[in-house]
Amino acid sequence: MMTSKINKNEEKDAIIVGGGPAGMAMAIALREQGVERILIIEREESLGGVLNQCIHDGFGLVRFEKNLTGPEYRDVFYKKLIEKDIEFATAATVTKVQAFPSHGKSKRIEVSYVEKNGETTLLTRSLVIATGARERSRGSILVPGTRPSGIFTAGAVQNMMNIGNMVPGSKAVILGSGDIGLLMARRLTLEGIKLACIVEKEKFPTGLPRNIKQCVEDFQIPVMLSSTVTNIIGDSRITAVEISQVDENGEVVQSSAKVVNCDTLILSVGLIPENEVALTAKVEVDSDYEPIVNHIGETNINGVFVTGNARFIHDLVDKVSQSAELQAIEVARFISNGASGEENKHDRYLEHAAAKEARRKEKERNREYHFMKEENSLVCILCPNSCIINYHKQEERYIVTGGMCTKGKDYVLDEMLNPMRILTSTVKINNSSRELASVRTTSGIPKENLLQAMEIIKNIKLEKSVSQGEIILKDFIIEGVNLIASSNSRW
Amino acid sequence: MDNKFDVVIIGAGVIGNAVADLLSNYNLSIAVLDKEADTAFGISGRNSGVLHSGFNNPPGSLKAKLCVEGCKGFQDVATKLGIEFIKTGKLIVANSEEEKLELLKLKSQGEMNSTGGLSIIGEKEIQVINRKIHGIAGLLSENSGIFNPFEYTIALANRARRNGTRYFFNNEVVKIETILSSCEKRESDEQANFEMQAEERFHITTKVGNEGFQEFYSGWLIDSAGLQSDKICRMLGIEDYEIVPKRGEYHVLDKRFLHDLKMPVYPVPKKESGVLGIHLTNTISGNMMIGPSGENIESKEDYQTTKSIMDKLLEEGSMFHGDIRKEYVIRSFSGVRPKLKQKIAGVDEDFVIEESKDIKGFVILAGIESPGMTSAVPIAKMVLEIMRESNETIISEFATESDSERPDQFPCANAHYGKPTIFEDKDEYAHLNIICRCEGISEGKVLKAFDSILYISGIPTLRGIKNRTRAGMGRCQGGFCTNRIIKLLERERKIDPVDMALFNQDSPIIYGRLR
Repeated sequence: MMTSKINKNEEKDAIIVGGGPAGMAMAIALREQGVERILIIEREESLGGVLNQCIHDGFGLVRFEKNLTGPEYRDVFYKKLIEKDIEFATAATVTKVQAFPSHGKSKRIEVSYVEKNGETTLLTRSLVIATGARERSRGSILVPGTRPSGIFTAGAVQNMMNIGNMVPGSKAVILGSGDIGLLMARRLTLEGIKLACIVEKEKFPTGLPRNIKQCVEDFQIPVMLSSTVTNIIGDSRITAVEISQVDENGEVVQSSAKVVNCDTLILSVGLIPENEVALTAKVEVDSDYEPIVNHIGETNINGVFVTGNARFIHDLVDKVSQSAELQAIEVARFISNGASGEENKHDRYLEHAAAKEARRKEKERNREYHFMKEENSLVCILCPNSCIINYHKQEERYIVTGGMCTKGKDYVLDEMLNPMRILTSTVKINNSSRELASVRTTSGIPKENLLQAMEIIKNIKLEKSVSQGEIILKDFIIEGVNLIASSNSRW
Repeated sequence: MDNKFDVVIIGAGVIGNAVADLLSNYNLSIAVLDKEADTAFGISGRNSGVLHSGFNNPPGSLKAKLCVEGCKGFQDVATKLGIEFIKTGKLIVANSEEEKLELLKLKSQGEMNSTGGLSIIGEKEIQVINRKIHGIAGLLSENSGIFNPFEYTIALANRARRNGTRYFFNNEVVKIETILSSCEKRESDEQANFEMQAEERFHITTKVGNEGFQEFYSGWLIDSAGLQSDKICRMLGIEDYEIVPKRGEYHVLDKRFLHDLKMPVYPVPKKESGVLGIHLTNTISGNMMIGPSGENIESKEDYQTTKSIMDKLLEEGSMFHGDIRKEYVIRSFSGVRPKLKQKIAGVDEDFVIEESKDIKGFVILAGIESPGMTSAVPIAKMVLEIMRESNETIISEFATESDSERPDQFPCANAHYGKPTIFEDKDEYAHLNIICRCEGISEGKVLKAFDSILYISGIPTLRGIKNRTRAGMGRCQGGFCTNRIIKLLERERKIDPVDMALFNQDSPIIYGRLR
């Protein structure tokens, strides 16, 4: 466990609850704005939040124009935190938040947190809640049937496999084709766990095009569209699900039910802002668990801000970091000016409603995009722009058109002639506090060699800890590509 | 013969535990057998947690008598056990003139049963109790209340165990034989020591998981097997009882919502249905529940929830309370009522609490549906009386009531809204890291719950830990804490993750290690 040295005798300028991509970015940006006394309080053993379990690549494409794995993205921020000497407490959970006026005009916020053996209470001028998101459960989507074991949310399976070194089952159905569901579909398949199918209530898969390509199409996983799970079967462990079709209005089509055998059901049915701390602090939170904040992310409590997924669900981690960095300017301004006076509740409600509506419209627009793909076109997956590149064969050559940069055309040619894929996975480490180290290939290996590569990876046992970037296997599968550690194997 | 007991109780639910708890004050060796991995996995863990005052039961019935007695004595029982109880009161709401007449009938029934605390209130007063409840008239029962049924059932087991009761979980009774020879022999002997006489009247065989069989011998056999109480009777050739299962589904709502509900609210029960009706209950943990419904089902332990009922619960709940949305639901579950087959169609049977006329020493507790939990301690007292009055009693001397006054050593957690509970009573449980964020449960509490299960010789399961701590009952429904609990138990109690199950050996959480 790594905790920095913390001065518990001083009042802080900013306490940030949550040391994931939002919290870390906020802390660094605040320091860059000149804020001095910053403390991050993180409930896990290590900073990074969900990034620690996201061993796949695709992070940093927008923010750094690099293709990083979750742990690699996390390390960019972590190194900066250490460099800037920012305090952080890990394995620490906030239990109480109380805002109260103190002497003079400026208010203070009192924050209590528990660590293994004790409780600490500190005063701070500002509090930034960066507690991320949680997943919607089976209970909240009201799926009828029994309540056997073997039902998991996708993020929990990701944590179980990538951090916990545990296998959830042997044959799975995934409900929901959002990114997390698609990523887990690939992860399970690479580990030899059967995927009966992915079930999606929309007419099209809802994850990013790069994930649809690399998770579903590459492995030919069956996707049942316009469908949903209408019953769970199995007394002790799940043995099957009933899948029915749904119409345009989301209503179940009678007599369309099909029973599919499985021993595992994985739910990828949506994220909700995780706002237990906000509720504890008596922040106004709407019934979707979004805090009611103004345009700078300030809540009904003076000096209490919310950032990242706790504020609203973002589609990319890169954007989470970026918006936290922008918001840091406002938080820093608040800290240097003291209390910003009486808040205007009416404005805050309006701003929240307007922002929420804008997000809803944006989501609608993105959905329509999926219908635009035609025959003889591919979606370029190199960056989230997801340009549509068209191709046709002329005699022996391929002609490609479209796309906002030249990389897209090269990508399509490669896809046609010699598709390559970056492989990310985990290897066992003995003699370490963490059971697994996450690994990645430095660049793509031929798609057809992925399963063979997995067989090699499964048998690797490291006898000592590795640091990020360390080469584990040189010239892995093809020359010039190495298998490297993508995280430090110690917390 | 190791497994020789004065009393064997079949069924470690609230009834079996209450009997064990009471009898454990006397000079008796007691064993409780249950086919599940832990206590409170059956009906006792699947109900509304309401203390009934007794106006719903026919005057002169055992249900009425024992319910009223149980209700009046509950505060004292709860205090001595160290469990929480809130006398919230209860409201029955009428929405038509016809229903209003029913309310009056219920009130006079209650008066005949001497429940106390009943009054008829009007629309305005209902609105004062709760702005969002719709009703033209109401029956207010001041003596009703709410408690945590897991906490109650488990606390009884813990105290019984502390007084020397032995629990045998994962032991399903498969055969029972009476041992007549030794009794007959001793009857004729005037020098017979009463204790010896009834020593071995029953030979009970249990199946232990998938591993084999165990034998037990007892002088008294108490059938408190809930849904299977008729099956136990049939093992002794008693065909008089048949349990006809009636399932009730529930929704549990996110504790953020509907704080305005301060007491359970019921509709006027429809006579023919034999159930109290879909009601709204606030719970001690802060969640509101809608339910239970009432459907006849084929198989006794068919605990599934169904689309049509799940929709109906939301619809009917909304008829009462204007603010119910399906987005508030965090979980749905069901319980099955052990209703005795009706001798007269449309008329519910009373509790069966009697020593079998044909088989001395065999006490049958059948059809213990609502108000069973409320009546648990009075039922136990009746069992004690039955044993005392029997000529073949082995209780020749009664010990005085022992340390049963001490608060329970392993109290359950009752997390209250907005107040994470932190547990620091012993150093070894002072792991303050919060493992369940939704309910504010520390690692120490989970370890204590694990040890508490072993204390009553139960098999630790996630459900057993959940029932004792509430970890997994929050809005994320175990999404966050499940992995962490498994890892915690691996680290601190050396439990292999592959061995952690949801509630029995056929419900493992994981299938193995990845690497």
